[in-house]
Amino acid sequence: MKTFDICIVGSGAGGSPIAYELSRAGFSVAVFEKGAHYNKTDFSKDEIAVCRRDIYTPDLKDEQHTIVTYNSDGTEEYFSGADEQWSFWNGSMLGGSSNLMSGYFHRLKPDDFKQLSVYGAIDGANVADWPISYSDLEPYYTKVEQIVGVSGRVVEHAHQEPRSTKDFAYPPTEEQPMSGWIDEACKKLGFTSIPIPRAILPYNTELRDGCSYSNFCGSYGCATDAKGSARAALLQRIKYDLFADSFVYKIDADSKQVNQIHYYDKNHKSHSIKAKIFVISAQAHESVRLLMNSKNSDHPDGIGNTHKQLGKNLIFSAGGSGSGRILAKHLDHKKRKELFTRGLFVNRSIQDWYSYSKNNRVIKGGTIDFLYEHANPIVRAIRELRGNDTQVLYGRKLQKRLEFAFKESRVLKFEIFNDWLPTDRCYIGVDDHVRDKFGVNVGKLHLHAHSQDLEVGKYLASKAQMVLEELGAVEIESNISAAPPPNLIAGGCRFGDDPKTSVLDSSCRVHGLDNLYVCDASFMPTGGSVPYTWTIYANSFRVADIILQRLKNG
Amino acid sequence: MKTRRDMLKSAALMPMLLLASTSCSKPPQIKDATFEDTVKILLDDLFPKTDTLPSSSQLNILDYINRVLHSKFTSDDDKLFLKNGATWLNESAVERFDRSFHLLDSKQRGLVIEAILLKRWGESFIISLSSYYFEALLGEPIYGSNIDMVGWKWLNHIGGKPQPTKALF
Ligand SMILES: Cc1cc2nc3c(=O)[nH]c(=O)nc-3n(C[C@H](O)[C@H](O)[C@H](O)COP(=O)(O)OP(=O)(O)OC[C@H]3O[C@@H](n4cnc5c(N)ncnc54)[C@H](O)[C@@H]3O)c2cc1C
Ligand code: SF4
Repeated sequence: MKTFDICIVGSGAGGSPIAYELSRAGFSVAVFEKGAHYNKTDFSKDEIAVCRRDIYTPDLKDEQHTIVTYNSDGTEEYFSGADEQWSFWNGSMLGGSSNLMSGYFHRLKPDDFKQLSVYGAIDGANVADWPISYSDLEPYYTKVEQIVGVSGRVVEHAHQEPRSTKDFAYPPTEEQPMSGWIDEACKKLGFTSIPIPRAILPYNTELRDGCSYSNFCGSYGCATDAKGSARAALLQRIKYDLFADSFVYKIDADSKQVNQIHYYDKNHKSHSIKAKIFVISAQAHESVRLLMNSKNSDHPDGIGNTHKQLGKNLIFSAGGSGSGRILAKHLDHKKRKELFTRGLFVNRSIQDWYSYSKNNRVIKGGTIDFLYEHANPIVRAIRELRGNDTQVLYGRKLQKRLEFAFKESRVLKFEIFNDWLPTDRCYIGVDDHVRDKFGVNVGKLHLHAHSQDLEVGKYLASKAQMVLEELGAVEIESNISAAPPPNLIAGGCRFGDDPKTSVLDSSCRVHGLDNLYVCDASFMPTGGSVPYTWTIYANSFRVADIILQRLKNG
Repeated sequence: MKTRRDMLKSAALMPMLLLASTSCSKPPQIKDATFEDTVKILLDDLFPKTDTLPSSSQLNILDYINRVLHSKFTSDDDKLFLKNGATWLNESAVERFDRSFHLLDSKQRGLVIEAILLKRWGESFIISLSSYYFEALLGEPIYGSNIDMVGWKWLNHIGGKPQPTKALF
């Protein structure tokens, strides 16, 4: 059996930077991906297939998560993901969910790396400082801008993070006129609107075409490769051994190191692979599950779980979303035309309240992103079934409502990203009673949101609503809830200097195991108040450098 | 543990009892009412033909719904619910007007629709059927109902590119 220099489990944003760097340095790389190998030519904007039948995620009858929530009296409520159609899958395919992301990219801020020191302890939350600082990660954020491709424009504002380069590697994607309207509204309100950086190429490069403004970005694979998915930006540029449709179900580790991993191929036949170094990057919750399911006599509670830290402090992006409807009838001819201009991006964000004061306390706030409602016509039509009332509409009434919704108005949305505080009640384990189609125990998620998450989310939503009001929107609403967004998931393998309170060391290596790294969002002790993917990419490039150095040193 | 299946079952309970109480003297019309008879006319009521929008029959919406009913991408629960919904709708029609739904005049059908919308199963059934109608009308033309992009044109929608070359089912 061939021994690879490096074996990576999971081909998404976490695993691919390591494959990219190691392969380019001449090392042999094996990448395991449980999903299929699609290329850009396989992608279309078929809403029925992609959004209504979820073709890129496993059928919940075959593979699911089970979920535990808490009632107000503290009792637990158990849900089967399959029965509830409650999915925590995000994209099983080469490149992982990064193929389907919208590519709204924000860096963390320096204070995100030392939340405990800056904001202090919070009752009921396990806030911790990171073992690395912003300046350790800054060069890698820059690397992501250049290699994965992040387009944007730097605008100074109170919470602008330090940069080693003056401006972005790529200029911004083309903007929808609404961006200018938001700028004006913010100016009137005294807010600072800033362009949202996007992991989207604005023009053609050697291997990837620029964005065609297809009008259907988030949830869809990109047919031009403009979107900075791990597949388009990294994997297609390197030589490596791909094991697609291959589900890794067990890691074989003794007390010092990992010796091999086991996987099932498409036909459920089991095989093994050996490597010098192993990287697990199956997305936070699935990486934890694999480590737990790999228990043996040396690791009776699962790999990396000597101090019972594995799976703890699972976090999501807290916040929620809101919207308002802009009516065409209030606009002159030019502005009406602008309102309905299709394809281009709104790309506006406000970070004025990334931290703010309340009752003499400095509170960690977050980010507001503005965007148009997704173009998906089926989903939009279904949303109109109740109009702006509670009663289900039908007949001419419904048809008129649809004509109004699609032709006489446009919905401007906002999304709020704030910290989901890590707590003892939000964690992931495995379900001893439920197995997937391979006969492997499924992940069991315990979900809990700290009350501060909701308070901050509501505060930010109230600011976003002011912008919608200033724009003259009607039907303004927001939905800030404790419901976790399954696509923005982190934690579970916290990194830190103390093995008693963390699973990984500062290089994302499992404490006590010489050759096992975990490299997706699971390392994050706190989430920061932005979506995670830029940070996942950047950290993986950082870990790639550490592994590279190690392999070079023999 | 709460499950969606339980929800459907409990929603089903009332009409099932109704069925038991009327099954001995079931009028001939209800036996004759097929799923197609019922859904065809219901779709026309829910989405009437307009100057710009052809009728559901002209758009082959029923064909699409039949494909949904035979697709491996539709769960057994959803298939059963769609079929049961049509049966229960007919039972409501018989209970009120002594005839199955497709034999009623439009005013009577309107009253039956209003009545079932007040019930949990009825509202879910109408939402479910309407959602499949939207899939057919506003989905990719390759699925057969958005003929000449009539649904998209009606709502000034421009489809995403590239379009699929093959329907999923
Ligand atoms: C619709 C959508 C929109 C999004 N928009 C944004 C956005 O605008 N901005 C942003 O920052 N983030 C966004 N995200 C989130 C972003 O995609 C993720 O943060 C990122 O891809 C996570 O990287 P990852 O490597 O942890 O997981 P993934 O990229 O999902 O990769 C994990 C891979 O591991 C594979 N895998 C899992 N288990 C195994 C196993 N046992 N064996 C083999 N392979 C395995 C999976 O199939 C998957 O391909 C979005 C996500 C979605 C779904
Ligand atoms: S072409 Fe542009 S809009 Fe379309 S999926 Fe790719 S990045 Fe998104």
